[in-house]
Amino acid sequence: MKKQLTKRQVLFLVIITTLANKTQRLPSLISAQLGRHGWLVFVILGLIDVGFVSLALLANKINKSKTCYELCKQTCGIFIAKVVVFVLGAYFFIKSLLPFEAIHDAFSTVLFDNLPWPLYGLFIIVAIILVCIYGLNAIGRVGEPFVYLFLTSFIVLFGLGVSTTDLSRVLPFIDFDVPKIIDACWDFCLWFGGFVIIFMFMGRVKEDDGKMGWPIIIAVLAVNLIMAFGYMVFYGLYENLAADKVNFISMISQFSLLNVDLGRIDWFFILFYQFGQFICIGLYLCLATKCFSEVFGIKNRVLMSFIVVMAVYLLDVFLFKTVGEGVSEVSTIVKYVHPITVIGLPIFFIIIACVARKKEKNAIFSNNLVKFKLLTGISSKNIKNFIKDKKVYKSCDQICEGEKQ
Amino acid sequence: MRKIVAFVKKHTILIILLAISILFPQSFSYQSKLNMRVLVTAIAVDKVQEDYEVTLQVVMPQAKAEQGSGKAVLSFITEQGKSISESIQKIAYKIGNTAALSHVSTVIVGNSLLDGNLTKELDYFIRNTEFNSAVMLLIAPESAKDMLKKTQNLEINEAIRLQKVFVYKESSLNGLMMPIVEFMNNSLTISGSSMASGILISNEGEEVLGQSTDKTLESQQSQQQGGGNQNGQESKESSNQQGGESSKEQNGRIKYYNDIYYFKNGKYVNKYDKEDEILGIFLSNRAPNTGELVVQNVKGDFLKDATIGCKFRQQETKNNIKFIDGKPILVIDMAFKDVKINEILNQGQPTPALYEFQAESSQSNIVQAIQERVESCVRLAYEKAKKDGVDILNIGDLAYRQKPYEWKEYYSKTGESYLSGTDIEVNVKVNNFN
Repeated sequence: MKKQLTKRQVLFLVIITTLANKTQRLPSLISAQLGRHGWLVFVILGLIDVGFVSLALLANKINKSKTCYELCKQTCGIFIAKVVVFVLGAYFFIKSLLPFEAIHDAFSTVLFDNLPWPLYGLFIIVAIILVCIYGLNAIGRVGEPFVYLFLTSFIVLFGLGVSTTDLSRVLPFIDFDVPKIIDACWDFCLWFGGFVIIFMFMGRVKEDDGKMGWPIIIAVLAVNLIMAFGYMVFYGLYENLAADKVNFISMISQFSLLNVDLGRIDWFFILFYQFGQFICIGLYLCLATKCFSEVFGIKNRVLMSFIVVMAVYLLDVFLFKTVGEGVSEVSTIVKYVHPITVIGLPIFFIIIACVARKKEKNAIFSNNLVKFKLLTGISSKNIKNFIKDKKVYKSCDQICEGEKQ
Repeated sequence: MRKIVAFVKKHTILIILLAISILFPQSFSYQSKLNMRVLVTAIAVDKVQEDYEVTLQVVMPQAKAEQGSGKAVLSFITEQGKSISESIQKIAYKIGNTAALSHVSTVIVGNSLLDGNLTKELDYFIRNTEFNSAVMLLIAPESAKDMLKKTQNLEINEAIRLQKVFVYKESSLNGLMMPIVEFMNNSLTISGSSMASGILISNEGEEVLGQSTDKTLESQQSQQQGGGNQNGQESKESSNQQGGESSKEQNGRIKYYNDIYYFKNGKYVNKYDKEDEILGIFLSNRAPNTGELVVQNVKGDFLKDATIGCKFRQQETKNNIKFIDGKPILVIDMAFKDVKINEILNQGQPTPALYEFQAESSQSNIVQAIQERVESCVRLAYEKAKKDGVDILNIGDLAYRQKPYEWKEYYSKTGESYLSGTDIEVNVKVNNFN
């Protein structure tokens, strides 16, 4: 399997996808349901994400350079492998609706509100198809320099918001309704769980046998905690009107530049930041394309990319006609299935990674045992007694060395 | 770096396509041409019977305008409609250009809108995504259209950037810059109280100095009636001439202390029009301020009924709630930093001591006078609103945020009339005096 990404690129892509999904509609949707306590959703679901990203990274560590499809195929057979990969593909397809809707919202209601989205949206579709065709290699390389611009834009806009907000509006912390918070966590779980892309990066990362390491855990934790604080900033600015302010990243800086005679310079940063949505959509749909290609055995990447991306476009234009409603409708169904992916898959992959590792070890041991028998001439019956008394040796040399002793 | 360059070379088409998808659609729209747009910088809204009369202050870009000439053409266009949105649509049709609303920084509403619920009337400015959330709300004492038209007597930068003028006024302790979003939000909180600044623009010499806005308007009306009865046409022509001359001289002046209108749940209740009340509101505003303060009748040592002008570099206010006998008390801690005496008008004989001024007792007398003045202004503002049933200092919200359980217990006993049991305590510190 060709290694397409470096560890750094993986980290940057995780940061971009984790952050970009949460900085559009999500804060306003949560504020409509929970008000001042909405930051708890970011903390709770964020901590769940951190727990399961650790499991996902552990699975990757146990696994040795195999992709998730190869791992499933080796342990469970082709059918189960295809089911798992299909679930992953469907998950990425649904997840791509989030950044796609964000782009649709930003372009059609703010930037080009006099132009028909179905028409000029096709340019965006073509760009995304190309991103999918060029693959993970291209996405990783684009993400690597872009992440600095992305994070700088976020920090500037966030800083502008922090300077003008009234954080006391989030008080009191203690007066919250636990069932309502749990319901909100269920309703908005689709916006979390972005770490699942790590399963698709298994076996595709250069250096150190695909060990992606603890920086990803830190990154996921940091993003979620920052967004929890970001929610407080947002709520502190708009309070009872927060539900009406649908785009977090463009709304938090509106009160901060009144003394400046340069106009809305924050819009430069907003547009740079929105470019991260393209990377996000491209990544999700590229991964979905890979999954479906694997499942249906379609090797023509161009055709598969075209089908997947056009499916998103057609859903957006014909089914989810109202911006914002589409994803909300999808999330009401997906919330029942989402835990299977976010919680079930890490556990599943750890189990099969351990099984695969044990199988490999057994295969190595059996191999070595045959060599040992040939070398020493000890019969199979005696070999078993020998093994009971001694520890299991990893290599023929060790077995031979042990015999000499 | 080499990898990045190689990547760019290899994927040039992709990069070009991405750039096209963002930049190209603009060219489909004729309205991107500058001469098809008018920039709206302020909006005035009045109510005429059941209809809304909307006036837009527009800046028309001119094709032959010199760069950096500092001049622009201000125009005022008015239309009526069943809603504010319809009125603006009609204006756009009337002028044949696209009204670009994203530059609007100020909305002035007339007295006629205060009869109803202002939060309902201003709904358009919240929902329309073209408007910046920080658009400022001002209230005209009579017609918003007339007040907006008077902005042409101001310097052009002031006229189209009223919001910045009020931001500066707020930071200098003589104004209130209330964004519409904040006004609306405040009417939805526990206290339901919200405020907005009035605006009075009058030509040099028209304002009744040191008096309320109403006095100035009365004086203007009486002048107009006295002049108009005899020579109706001539006075019109002359006032037009004067208007023309004054617009050339740009001698329009914004009142120093504009009235502060306060509302409960969006309905107009009353206004602060006396300087002490207005100052009390500005002082209790938590935005850090610089500014000047005058204290009178200061006595002690060589000071005899002295009037003292002080300038402070920074003022900070912190609000805390404590409960005494189950009733919420708002504790306002104010700190004035780097206070300097600018002027002493002493009643007694001039003495070198006025300029030596080392005696601690005199300093403490002045500090005490400052503390008393500040407390009296804040209390005056609070008591006036309390009498009208308006929780102007948001005691209800603060109590809920800081001590939710005590507040809930208190509110369960008192309900909507919780304000009668509240009180305030003002602690003023003067740091680094003189």
